[in-house]
Amino acid sequence: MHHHSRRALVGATLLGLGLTACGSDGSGSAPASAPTTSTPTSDGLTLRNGWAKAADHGMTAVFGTLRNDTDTPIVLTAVSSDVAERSEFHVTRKDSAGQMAMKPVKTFTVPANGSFPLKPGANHLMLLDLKKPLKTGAEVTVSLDRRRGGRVDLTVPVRSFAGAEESYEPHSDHGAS
Amino acid sequence: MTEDAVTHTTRRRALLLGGLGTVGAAAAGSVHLSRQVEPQGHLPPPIPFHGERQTGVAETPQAFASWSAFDLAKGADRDAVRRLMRVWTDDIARLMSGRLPITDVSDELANPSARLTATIGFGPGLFVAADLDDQRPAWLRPLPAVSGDKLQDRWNGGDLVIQLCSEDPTQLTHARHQLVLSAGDLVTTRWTQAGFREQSTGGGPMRNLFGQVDGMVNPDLTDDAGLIWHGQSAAPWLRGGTSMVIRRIRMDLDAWAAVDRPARERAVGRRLSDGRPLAVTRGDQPDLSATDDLGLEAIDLDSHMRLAMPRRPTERILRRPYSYDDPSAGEAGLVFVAFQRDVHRQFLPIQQRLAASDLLNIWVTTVGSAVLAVPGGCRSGEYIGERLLG
Repeated sequence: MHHHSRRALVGATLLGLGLTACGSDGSGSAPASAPTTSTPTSDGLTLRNGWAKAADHGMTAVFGTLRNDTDTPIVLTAVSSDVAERSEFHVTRKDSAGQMAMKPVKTFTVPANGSFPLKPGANHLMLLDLKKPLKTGAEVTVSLDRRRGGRVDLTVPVRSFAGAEESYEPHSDHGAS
Repeated sequence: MTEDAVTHTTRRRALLLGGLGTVGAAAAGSVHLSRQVEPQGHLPPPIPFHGERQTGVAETPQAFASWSAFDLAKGADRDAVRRLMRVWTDDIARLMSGRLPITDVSDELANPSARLTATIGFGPGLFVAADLDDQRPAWLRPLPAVSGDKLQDRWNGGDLVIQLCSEDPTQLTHARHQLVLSAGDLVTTRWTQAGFREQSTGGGPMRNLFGQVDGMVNPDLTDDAGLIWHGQSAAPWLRGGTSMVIRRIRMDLDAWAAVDRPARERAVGRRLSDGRPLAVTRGDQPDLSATDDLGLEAIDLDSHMRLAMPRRPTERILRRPYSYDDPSAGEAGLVFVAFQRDVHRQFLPIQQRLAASDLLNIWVTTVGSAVLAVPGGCRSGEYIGERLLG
């Protein structure tokens, strides 16, 4: 189902994101009155503006901005969810054919006092082999295992989204931070 | 600065200040210049989303508006409506504060200075789908058919309607598109209309495409708030809410062009120059008993103004009309939007008098109609309609 036109769109998305992805997450300077979806967790790890893409079956992804408010990097070693048979950390990179493709990595590292953006066309949490549909407007919980500090549950809204249709290329083995 | 440069700068300032309702005033020379010495950055703040009432009713009308009607997907139940309202509430709160929906990556289109408002109305079908028909107000049903209407289904009804208003048409279109995307498969779009307001009046009563001052008579929203808003006697979900009637009124501009000014004024019962009634009492009220040289009523018995006047104190509504132009359909007219607490007591008697004998009916035809219940506003952490949908 992943046609060239889709890939072209993904490429375009990445070009656009390049303007913002390297700086702050773009949501941190919001006025206090503005709505935020922040899932507070223990030990200074939060997911700001988190959401999961609605899907009836197959795979989907979770986006947002992981924020580390501690003085040491937080290494995430596993992601899981009750709604998916398995879950992975994904990066999106050019494949050998020059197309953008997602690849699993073993860890995500959220820098000390820093952010780790999860965005369509870039890093994200991947939920595979969904056990049930993720419906628009519902909520889904994903769990992150930290190398130190144990497991953190994050609940995010499920949202309809037209993008995030990258092709999936498993068997990669790089870390990302 | 050269004169050209002055003009250019001023025009830009006037545009920027449009949200403050000063475009009209800026057309006058003296005000024109005084605007120039004002400090930069004088843009209107966002209109707050959270509160007792939804926005887009009491605010001074913005320059542009759209109305999108949606039907719930087949089989949608209360849970589906709940999920839809959670999504739209979050999106609207972000859009109005000058941010973007959580899924939106087009950061550059955020605009905190265009006075965006959003007004969500529930149609009768929503109450049926959500198994809440016992909560449906008696007035929430299609207006009874009246003579002269040529209603087309493509402009009628809807399970939900979102009215969006903004000073910036780009923001308006982007917001509407995002809300449609966010709804995903929960709804299908039934119809979309777009409107604009004549700008020389700076937020006051506008001129419609017949050149008439339109929407002149409105209740005072402080003294007569009870005419518009539901209070403590209403069901909890309707407190701070109102009703929205949307009528798409086609105007025959070609035929109107052939009508001389005295006949135009007679039809509406007002002077075209300033909207003043053709006869007034000392207290500046329309003088309905005044006669002309021939002994005929100075304000025609079938003039729009006379028929639209309240016969009872309750027959008053908040008019918030916009003009529309659909060149591809060869059609133009008025999206007449009215807010009132009770459609049957307040709107219907006026509409029925106008339908029966308004002189303007020669040139205007209603082609679309929708009646919506507008739930109260919501607090932070709540979604619109939560007190109904649970």
